[in-house]
Amino acid sequence: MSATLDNSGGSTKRAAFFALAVAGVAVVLYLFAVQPCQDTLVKERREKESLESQLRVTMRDLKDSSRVKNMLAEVETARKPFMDALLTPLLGSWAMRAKSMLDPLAADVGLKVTDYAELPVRALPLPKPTPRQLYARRPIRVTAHGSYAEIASFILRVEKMLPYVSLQALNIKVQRTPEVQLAEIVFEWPAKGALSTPAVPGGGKR
Amino acid sequence: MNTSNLHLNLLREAEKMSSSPVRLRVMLPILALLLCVGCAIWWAVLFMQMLLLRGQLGTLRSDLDGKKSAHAAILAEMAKVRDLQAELDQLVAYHKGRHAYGPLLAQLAETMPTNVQLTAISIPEPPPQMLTNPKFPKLPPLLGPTNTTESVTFRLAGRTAKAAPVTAFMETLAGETFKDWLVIDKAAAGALQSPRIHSFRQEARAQEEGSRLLAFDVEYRCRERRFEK
Repeated sequence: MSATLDNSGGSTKRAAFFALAVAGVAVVLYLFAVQPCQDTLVKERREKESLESQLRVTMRDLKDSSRVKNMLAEVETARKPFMDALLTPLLGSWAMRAKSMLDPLAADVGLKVTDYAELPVRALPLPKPTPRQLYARRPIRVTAHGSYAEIASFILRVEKMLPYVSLQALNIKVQRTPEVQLAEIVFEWPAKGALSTPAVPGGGKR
Repeated sequence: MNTSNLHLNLLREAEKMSSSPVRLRVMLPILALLLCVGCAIWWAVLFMQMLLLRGQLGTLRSDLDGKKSAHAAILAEMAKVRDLQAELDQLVAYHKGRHAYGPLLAQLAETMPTNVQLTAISIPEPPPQMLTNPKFPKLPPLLGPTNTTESVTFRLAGRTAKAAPVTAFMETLAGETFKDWLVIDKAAAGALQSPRIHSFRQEARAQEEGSRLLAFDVEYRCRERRFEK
């Protein structure tokens, strides 16, 4: 009996060692299983939130698909008259294109046009956001001879028939007779201008 | 029968004073085991959550992958709408800055007094655009002007025998008929004054009758061109 009683100190030590070992296992379990698992869970929850947000945006955008298509159609419709009115070069010459458009109108009023000359392009103020394709004002100087009435009729006719062509400058000088005056009329057209960003990386014109 | 009672005192001296009725050598292993089992259960719960989450992530990824091409197409359309709208804004701004001067010239012919002869009519060209910064000439030029307005002037030069018809003509130009084109601001100073009389003097060259003609040169400010949406 006394031996058993004496042994109680040893069993306490064994119990303490056992408890210590088991606690060590628990610590190892926490450090190498629970903690990494928690970290992974946190990361994956974040990823899930991000994916859910992406999915919400995607669903919203897809829901807007028909509205976007309508907007695209509306913008293209509104843009079409401008596109049709753009001055484009004829055989590489802007003045030639202007001549092909203005000569019939000058002939209608009896104005004698003697020269068409290209003037430096004028940039238009940039809208926000800036589009890739910019547009500019392309002036063409028309030199003509005729009476004041013919010149005024010609300008009236151009402004009526070509609603996107604008008179930029005018200079009428009286010649020897009032029937024949020298007119320098600068008309400007909308035309394609520079590209705000190159079409291909490192390429395109500015 | 005389029996003696056997009292076993298994408690140690330290344990006698302890508030806990359960001994430490029993408690410690149990607590350690509980801790270990708790950790294992915790890990199992987390692991199950992780498995569940991975399943959900897989579903989400496959959902997104399935919609990827349709979404890319709609994003491209949205970008195209934005770009075309910006192009349209610039073209509309150009159109807003367009003024028709044909009717002005037609009205001018109708209101012209018979005893006034115009020798020159001009709408001068606007000054050249400054798209490069003179302080930093090496920088690439701007793609467009920062100013959205452009001033326009209308200059008339002519001759007359008397001053009165010219004054009457200028009064007509200041009237309702021309208000759509010409700005009348006599009080303004310098270049902003409209009409601005550059000269109104007798011509040096004498006419055949011996009388001298009056030459005038007047400049009007027109409504400025506003290239704004």
